[in-house]
Amino acid sequence: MAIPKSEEKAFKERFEEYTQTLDCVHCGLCIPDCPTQGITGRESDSPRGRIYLMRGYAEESIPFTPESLKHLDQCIVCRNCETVCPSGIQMGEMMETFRHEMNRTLPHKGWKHHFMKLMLNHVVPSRAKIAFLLDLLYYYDRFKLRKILVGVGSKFSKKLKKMDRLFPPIPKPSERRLATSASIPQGLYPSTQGKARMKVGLFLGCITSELFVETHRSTIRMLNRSGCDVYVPDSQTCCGALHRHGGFIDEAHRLYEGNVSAFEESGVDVIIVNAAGCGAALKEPPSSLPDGLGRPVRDICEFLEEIGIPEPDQKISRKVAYDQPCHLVHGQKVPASAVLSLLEQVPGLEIVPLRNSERCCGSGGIYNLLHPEMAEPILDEKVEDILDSGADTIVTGNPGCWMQIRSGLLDKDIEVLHPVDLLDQAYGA
Amino acid sequence: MSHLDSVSSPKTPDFSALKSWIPPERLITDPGEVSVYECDGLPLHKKSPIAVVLCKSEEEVVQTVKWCDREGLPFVPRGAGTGLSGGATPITAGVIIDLNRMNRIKHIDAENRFAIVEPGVINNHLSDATRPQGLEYAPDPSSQRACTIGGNVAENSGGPHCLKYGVTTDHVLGLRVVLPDGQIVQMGGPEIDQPGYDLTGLFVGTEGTFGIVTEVTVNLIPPPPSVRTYLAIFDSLGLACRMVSQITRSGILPAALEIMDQNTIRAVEASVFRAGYPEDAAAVLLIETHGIDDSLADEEARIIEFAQECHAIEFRTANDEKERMDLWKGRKGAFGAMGRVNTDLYVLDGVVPRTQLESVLNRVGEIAEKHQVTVSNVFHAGDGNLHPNISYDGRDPEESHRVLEAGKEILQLCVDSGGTISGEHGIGLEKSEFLPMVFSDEHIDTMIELRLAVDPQERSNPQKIFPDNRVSKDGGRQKLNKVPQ
Repeated sequence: MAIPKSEEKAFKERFEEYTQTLDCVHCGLCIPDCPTQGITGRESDSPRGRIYLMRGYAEESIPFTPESLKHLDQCIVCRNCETVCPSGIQMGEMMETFRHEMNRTLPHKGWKHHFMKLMLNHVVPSRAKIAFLLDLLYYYDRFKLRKILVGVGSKFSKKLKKMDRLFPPIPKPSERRLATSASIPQGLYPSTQGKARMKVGLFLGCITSELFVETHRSTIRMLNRSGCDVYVPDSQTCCGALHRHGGFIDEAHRLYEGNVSAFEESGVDVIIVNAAGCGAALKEPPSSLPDGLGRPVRDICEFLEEIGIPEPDQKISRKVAYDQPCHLVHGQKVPASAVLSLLEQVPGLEIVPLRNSERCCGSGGIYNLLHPEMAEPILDEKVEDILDSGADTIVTGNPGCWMQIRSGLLDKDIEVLHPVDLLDQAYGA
Repeated sequence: MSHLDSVSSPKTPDFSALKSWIPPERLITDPGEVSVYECDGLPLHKKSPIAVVLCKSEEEVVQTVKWCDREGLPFVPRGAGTGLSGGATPITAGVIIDLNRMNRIKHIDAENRFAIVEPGVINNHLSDATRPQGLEYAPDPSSQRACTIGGNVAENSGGPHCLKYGVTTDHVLGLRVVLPDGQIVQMGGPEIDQPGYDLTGLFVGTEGTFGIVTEVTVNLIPPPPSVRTYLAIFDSLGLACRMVSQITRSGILPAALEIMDQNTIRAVEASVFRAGYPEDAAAVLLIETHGIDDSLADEEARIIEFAQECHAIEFRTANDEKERMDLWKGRKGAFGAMGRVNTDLYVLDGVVPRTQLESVLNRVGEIAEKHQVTVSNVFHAGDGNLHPNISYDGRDPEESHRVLEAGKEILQLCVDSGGTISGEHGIGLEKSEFLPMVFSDEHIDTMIELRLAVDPQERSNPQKIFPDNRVSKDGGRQKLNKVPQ
C-alpha cells in the first residue's frame, strides 16, 4: 500500500492544510492527554508525533511508510489535544484533511475501508435504509440468530464476542419512529408552558434517529417543559461527522448542504442537537458554507442550562457521575458545569466526581469497530475510573460513548443514560 | 551542524537478540516512524535513531544496554521528550531507550516523607498521588504536566518555585542506575545524608551521559500552610526588573518571581492558557509567597509598597485558588503559546546576576534587533534565570542561522555580565559548543575524565555537554590514557 513516488508529489501538492502543522512548536504538553499514546507509549501515537509525521511527509523529510501511516490512522480524533495545546492546534481539522488526501491518493485500502465507504456513502445518509438495516438487526436479535451466531462464531473469533457487546438494544420497529413535521399537527411539538418563548429545531441524526428515539422524546419533552415549540423537519439527514473523521469530506459537505435546506424554511431560532458528535460537526460548517445552518446550533444540555428548566418535582435516588463526550468538551468546548448544573437541580440525585471524565472512552464514532485493539484498553481505563467513582448511573450525551461505555459495564450494575433521559425522569406526567 | 558532519552512519545491527524478548509493539525500527524521535523539545538539531526500545522494567533496560554494548551502538535515554537542550536527540543515531512505560509510583512513605518512583512518572502525577497524604514533590518545571522525573533528574530541572525550594538535585535522595556496561548500582537512599561521596548528587544533571536511571527516591514536603499570589503590571520591563531587585534586597524570600514581557503576554492571551494579563502592558511580574498567614500579611504590605515605588500601573491579588491557578496557567503555557508567533521556537536558558536583569534585557533587545529576530522574554526573575524565546521559521536556513547567532551572543552576554550559560535546561547539544565560555580547558578535561571513568566507550548519550572536538578527537581520550589502569 506504499504510495508510488509520482503520487507522493501529488499528495504534497494537495495537502492544503499542511501549514497548520507548523503551528506546533514541539513542546509536548499534549502527550499525557492523548488516549492512544497512553496505550502504546509511542511518540507516533501522540498528537505531537502525528503532526511531526504529517509535516515530515509534506516536507519530504520523512519517508511515507505504511507502518508510520498506521499511527495516523490510529488517531481517534477525540480532540483532547486541542483543549490543552497552548499553540491552538486544530487537530480535528488536520486529521480530516490528511485522511481526505489519503483516500484520494491511496485507492485500495482493504475490505474495512470499502465497507466503511459503502456504509457511510450509501446507507447512513438515507433514513429509509437505516430503518431497513435496523429492522434486520432487530429480527436478528429477536429470532435468536444473534445468540446462535455469536455462540458459534466466538469459538472461532474472540473479536466477535467483544464486538457483540457493543450491540445496543433495538426498539421494536413500531416504537422506533419519531413523528416528524410531515406527520404531526402544525408540524410542531408545542410548548407545554403556554405561549412558546422560542421555536427550536431538533436534529435527529442518522442511526440515532431510530436507535435513540427515546432520547429524542425526552429531549422534546424537556424543551416543551422549558417553554419551547419543537419543530422536527422531515427532510434532514446525517450530520457527516463520521464521514469527516474518515476523510470523506466531499460527502460530508453534501450532507451539510442537505441539512441547510432542511432547516432553511423552518423558521426556528435555534437548532438543538442531543448527540455531541453531531453537534460538533454542525457547529463547524465547511468553508464553502460560512453561515452554517443559518442560526445557532446548541447542544441540548448547553441550551437548557442557558434558558433554564422548570423545577423538577420527582425525587431520583441515584448516585450519578458525568462522563464528558469528547466532542462536547473538546469539540464544542461545553464545560462539564453546563451538564452538572442541570443535574444538581434534581432532588435526591447524588453527583459523584469521575476521574478523567474529559478523557476519551475509545468510542470515536466507529473507531471501536475499526481499531478494537486500541479502543478496548482505552475503555478498560474508563471502566476502572467509573468503578472507582462508586456511581450507579453514568450520564453521557453522545450515542457512540453511550454504546461504548455500556458495553464495558454490561456485567456491572451500572446504568448508562443520556443526561436528558435522566432529567426527564425528574418530572411527573 | 558540525555534530552531524563528524558522524558516520552505523552498521545495520542484528536485531534478532533484541526481538527474542521485546514484543513488537515496543520495538520501533520503521524508518518513517523512528523519524518522530529525531528531536525533543529543541527541533534545531535532528537525527533519527536506528531503533527505539520502549522498556517496561529495569531488567529490560539492562538487556537493551547490554545488547547495545554487544552491537557497538550508542544509546540515548528518553522520557517525554520535552527537554529544551536536545538532551534526548540521538545525534549519533544509535538506539533510543524510551522510559515512558516505566511509570509506576512504587512506594509512598508519608511518615518518612519520601517516595520511590520509576523514571517515566510524569512530574505532576507524582504530586497528584502524594497530595492526599499531605505531601508534594517540589520541583515544578513549566512542562510538569508532561515531563518525567527521569528527565528531571538527567537535566537537574528547575521551575518557578525553585527560588524557594531548590532544584531537582535538592529533592533527589537516591537513585538506581543502569551503567553503560549494564551493571546496576544503587546510590543514596531515603536518608537525608549518606556516608561517603555524594554519588547521587554527582549523577543528577549528567544529562544521560552516566547511564540510565531506573528508580528515583525523592523527597516530599508538605505544601505551605498559606499561599498568596499577586500580579504586578508595568508599562516598562525595566521597572518590573527593579521590583524584583527590591524584593530580593528586602530579605523577603518569595516562592516565585516570574516576569513575562509584552510579546509573551500577547501570545499567552491568544492561547487556551489565557490568564487575563493586560495585553497593552509592557511586563507583568507574578509573585507568590508561601508561609503562615501572619508573616504573609506583613510581606504583602511590603510587596505592595515596592510595587508603588516601582510605579506598577496595577497590582492584583488572587482571591481564591481559581484565580491563583488562572494567573499561573498563563506562565506555565507560555512556551507552547509561542507557536502563535512563528512556526518554530528556540527557548534560550541563561543566568545573570539579579541586579543586572534590567541592563541585560536591554542588551538582549539590541541583539534581537541586530539579528532581526523576534524575542519574547519569560523568565524566573527571582533567580536571574532568563528565557529569551526566539520565534522563527525553521524552513528558512538563513533565518535559522541568524537565530543561532543571536542565541550565542545572548549567552555570551549572560556570561559577560557575571552569569552563566544554563539555568535549568542543561547543556545537551544546544550549548556544548559554548561550554568554553564558562570553563577552562582543564575544567572541561576533568569533567570528561570523570565521564570516561563511568562510560569509557562513550556509549551513553554521546556528543552531549562537551564541545565535540574534545571528547572524540583530542583532550578526553588522551587524558584517559594517562589514568592508571
